[in-house]
Amino acid sequence: MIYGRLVSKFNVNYGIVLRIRIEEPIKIMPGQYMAIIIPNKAQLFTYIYNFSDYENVIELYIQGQRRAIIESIPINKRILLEGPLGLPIKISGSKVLALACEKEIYKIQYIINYMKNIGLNMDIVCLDIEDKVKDPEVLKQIVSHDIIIAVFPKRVIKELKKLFTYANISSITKIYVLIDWVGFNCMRGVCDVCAFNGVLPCFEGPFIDINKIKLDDSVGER
Amino acid sequence: MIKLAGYSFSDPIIIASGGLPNVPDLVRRVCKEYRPSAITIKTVTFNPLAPHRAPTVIKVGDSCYINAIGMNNPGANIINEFRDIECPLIGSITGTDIDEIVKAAEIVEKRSIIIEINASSPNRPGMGMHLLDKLSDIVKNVASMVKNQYLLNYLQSLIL
Repeated sequence: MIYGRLVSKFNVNYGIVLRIRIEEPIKIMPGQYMAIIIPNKAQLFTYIYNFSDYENVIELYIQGQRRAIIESIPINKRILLEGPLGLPIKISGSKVLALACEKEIYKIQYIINYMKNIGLNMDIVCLDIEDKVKDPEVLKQIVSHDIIIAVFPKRVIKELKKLFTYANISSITKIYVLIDWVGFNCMRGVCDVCAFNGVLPCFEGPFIDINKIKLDDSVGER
Repeated sequence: MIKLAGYSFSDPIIIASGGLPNVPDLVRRVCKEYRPSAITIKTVTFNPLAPHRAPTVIKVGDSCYINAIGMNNPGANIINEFRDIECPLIGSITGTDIDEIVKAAEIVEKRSIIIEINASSPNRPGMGMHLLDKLSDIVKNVASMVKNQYLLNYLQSLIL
């Protein structure tokens, strides 16, 4: 765990970003996440929005109900952070596709920045997947990538599976699905609250290799 | 080969209780990928137990924090879902009284080569380390119920 001081906050469409100057150097790889600990009150899962190891500044993105807790933290407050947590995405090849609906894209902002910074060819496709699983234009856009990072709510996971099936993606392509709809309680996989189809997204993810999860008919039910 | 409680282990690497949640597909995967000589299940109680709610970290002083998950578990019957796991299992149990622990032992015995009584975990009132005063009675009662010969020999050796 490390301490940081809250420098500023700013709103990003569907959430809030906290800019924090951390007190110790850390290294964050794409795909990892951080938790904010408010002792005796809350332990919050946050997405990495941006990170500069040169400045020791990290930006954390928070969506949904957790936002209200965060908004009450005053500027200049010392904050306890846990992480980096989870496993990094394994980088292979040179072409990366971020596939997300508009509301979700902010969750992978750091991954997008990181991939671009190391010189990978980063494509971003924002789509409403429920209407596009057979759209030839969309299918054309998602083939020929080495890594695909898919970020969608749980309710459309079945559509996501259909999309990948119709697109006939090469078996060499690594497909990662962000599983953040499970509960993140202890953040270490020990309490099993995050368990999903035998995988622990809080420990082994939250970006899970699609081959590790059974996207069966029970997944994606509304 | 290493012998413990009459059972021969292929090597000294056994997964300790607590690190691996009682998620059958996960335990199956860890067994297959890492082939430990045995897996100690995360401690179970007779009835399911919910985890402490987040934050699982509390501040107890300046720069001093304690992490406690709360021995959550899906209940002893989860071991019946471990039937096709090839690694030997060590059934770790606890409870708030002797009856409850014996009932948990009756269930986990069916799939365990050893029963471990958790009398050390500090993070749930009435369980784990809070059982130390009753430990001798707990072991006697569990031993009197156990039918598995490996377990029986081991538990009797503890009493003697």
